Amino acid sequence: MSNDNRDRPRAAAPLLEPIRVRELWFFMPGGPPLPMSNSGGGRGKIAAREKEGTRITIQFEPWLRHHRVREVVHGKLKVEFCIPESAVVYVPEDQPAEPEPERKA
Amino acid sequence: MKVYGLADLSPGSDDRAFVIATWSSSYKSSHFAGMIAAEDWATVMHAQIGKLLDRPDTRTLVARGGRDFLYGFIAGDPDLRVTLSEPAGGRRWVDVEYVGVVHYVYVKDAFRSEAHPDGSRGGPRIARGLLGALGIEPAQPFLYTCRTGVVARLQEKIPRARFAPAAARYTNYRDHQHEQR
Repeated sequence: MSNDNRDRPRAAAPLLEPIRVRELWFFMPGGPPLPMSNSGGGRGKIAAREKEGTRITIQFEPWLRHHRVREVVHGKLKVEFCIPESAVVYVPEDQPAEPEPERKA
Repeated sequence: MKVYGLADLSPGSDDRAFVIATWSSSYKSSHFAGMIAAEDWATVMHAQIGKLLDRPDTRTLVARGGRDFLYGFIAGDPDLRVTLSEPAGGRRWVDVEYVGVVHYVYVKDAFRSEAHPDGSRGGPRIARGLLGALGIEPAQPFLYTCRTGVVARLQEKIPRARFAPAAARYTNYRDHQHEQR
């Protein structure tokens, strides 16, 4: 069997960066008070923040289809857990914090 | 505020109606839309789009503003991996691994962010957010199955994307890679 095909140059596989997330919502914003999944533990949302030595970071990892939440207290990892994509909607970090006026198309 | 998440594609849902209606109507004017009589367009395409959305490999995500407002959607399969040969100048060919297939991206016209003629970029870049949510890196090789005028104008944003309508036509594209002969 020829090795020609196997030896052909190949382009490198793409590298994906996680999406930095500002907020995770377990309920649809503006919708009825029904959670999108029962995995939220009753909480409405999780927000990324940094306050008094506690830093909460959230990142969406599309290749694993989940959100990774990390809580670091004074430089030490205290909590880390993942939430499936289907349980939440997310607000990306690069989105302005102020709600923008809605325009109807 | 825009939130990104999975679309509710259950029969009769608002998300499903939005995705099918906007996909069908915006694709109708594409030169690649096929030889379908205008009066049959909705009947044919709504059924075809529905079939594609209901495939187990297809993921559909929406950009939502509150409960009742949708900015746009994306449908595709980020897990598809195929290696295709591309000309690399002269008689050389190179194998390129394509990661993911995008069947369609739609953003409502008023919220699109196409670059202005002077080069500056405006708008909220919702399509880029949807591609990221699906796990597609715009600058890297991926396949897309529906070509429209908007895709042609944005070619420099997706320089390594490859038009492969067969990936939507066949459920076994990964195995057989039905290319044009």
